[in-house]
Order: sequence, then C-alpha cells, then structure tokens
Amino acid sequence: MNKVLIVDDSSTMRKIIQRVLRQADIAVDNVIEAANGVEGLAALESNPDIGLVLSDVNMPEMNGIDFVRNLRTTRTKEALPVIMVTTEGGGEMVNTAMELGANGYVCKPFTPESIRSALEPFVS
Amino acid sequence: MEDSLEDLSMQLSAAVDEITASMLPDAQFGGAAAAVDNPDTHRARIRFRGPLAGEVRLRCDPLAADSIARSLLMMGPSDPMSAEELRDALGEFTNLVSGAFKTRALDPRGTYTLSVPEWSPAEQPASGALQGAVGLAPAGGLARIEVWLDSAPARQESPGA
Ligand SMILES: [Mg+2]
Repeated sequence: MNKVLIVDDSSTMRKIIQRVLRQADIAVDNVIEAANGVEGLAALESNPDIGLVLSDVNMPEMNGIDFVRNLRTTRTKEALPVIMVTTEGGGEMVNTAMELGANGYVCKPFTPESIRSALEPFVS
Repeated sequence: MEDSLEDLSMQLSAAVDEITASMLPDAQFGGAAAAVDNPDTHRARIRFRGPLAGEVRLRCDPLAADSIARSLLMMGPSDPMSAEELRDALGEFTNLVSGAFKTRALDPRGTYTLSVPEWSPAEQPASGALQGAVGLAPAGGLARIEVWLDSAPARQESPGA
C-alpha cells in the first residue's frame, strides 16, 4: 500500500494507528493525516493516489459518517476501501457507516492482530 | 430505565480496566478513588446523550497526566512532549474509556451519542449526580475517572422533541 489516509481528531490516535500498522507489518510508504472529515475530503482531492482510508467516527466539523457519505459520491467501495476505526463497536454509528459504504471497521482499543485482520483484504 | 444505576459504577470500572490493560499496562490501580482537585489538576470530559444524559470525567495530577500521556504516545520519560500532545492524549484516554463505557453500559439501554473531548482548566460545576468513580495511580501520580448523570435526565427522545 503506497498511500494511506488516517482521519482522526486525536493526534495521539493518529500516532497510535501508525505505530500499530508498523507492528502489524503493514507496509505503508506514505501516511497522510487529517483531523476531521473536511480535512479528509481535501486530502483525497489533493492526493488522488490514496489507496486506503482509516477513519474515526466521532469528530468535530465533519464526523466519519458524513465523511463516508461525501466520499462515496465520487469514489466507489472497490476504488477506495474505507475502514472505520471507532470506540463504538456495534453501535448505531458503525452500522450507519457500513450502510453508507464503509468496507469494514475495527474497534478501539485495537491490537496489531485486529488491525491486520481488518485490513488484510485491502492491502497487497 | 428499570435496571439499577449501580451498574454504571461497575461498568465504568470494567471499562477503565479494559482500556488500561490494553493501553496503559504499567498503570496501577489505587485502592480508593482519591479526590484529585488542585489548581494544577488536568481535566477532560466526554458528554453522553440518549435516554440518560451525563458525562465521563477524567481528573489527574501532573504526574499521572504525564504518565498516561507518555504511555499512550509511547514516549520515554525524557522525550519532549508538548502541552498540546499532553492535552490530546488525556482527551483520547477519556474518549477510549467513554467508548468502552458506552458499549458496556449505555448501548444496551438505547441509542446514545458521545461528544468529542472537552478540556477545562477549572472544575465543571457539579450539576448532576456522581454515579461512580475509579482511581488510578500511574507512576506514583493520582488520576480519577468519574461517571455523572445530569440532574434532570433527558427523556426518551421522540421525533420533534
Ligand atoms: Mg474522535
């Protein structure tokens, strides 16, 4: 995977996700960070070669639900996999994100194993 | 809500256990949830809203704040950490605990939403009722995590209400 977008309002969580990607042996050449859905959409526009998105659900400005809804108007599930990374396992927000076109989800706190199994279908 | 609110306290404790075991393996539980309330206390909170409304609060002294943040960020004791990094890490810790608490205690009771973390330099006015508190003693510091319910719990939300 050459370019991954991590969308989370917490800079701490963005760091933790990058660390766990390394621990899970998921090779990523380039990580782009965004702090909310608005920044995420802007990052996708200026980096059309992003191949995978990991997005938080609960964020200010634009949450993960509206972010997925927006990006699915231009990018299909096949063209751009989106994995929700959320504290709300099984909650209504996750179900809504899946209905709107998220490809999967992983719950916080996560382990290298849970990240690897969520991302395996989408990373070469 | 027919079931006992006593559960909230136990479920907060279980949520804190879950998050500290996975994210802060070196933190030790304090015997009692000692009061943490000084001018240099760090505070963060997450609001929850649904059939019940309230908040999860974190308060910690500077030692505990530093320890929790460094554990989450995987920083060594002498690595430079900015005030913003510290603040963000404490907010995310509160967020993780709140998420685990929501899954255990709130989701079975209805549909709930969580706020993003809020920080306040001074104590929030105690407008509700304390339901439970958990003490942590990371690296010799003191932290306290509480769950509060608003004094007038929100009624079951209905369309247009
Ligand atoms: Mg968030």
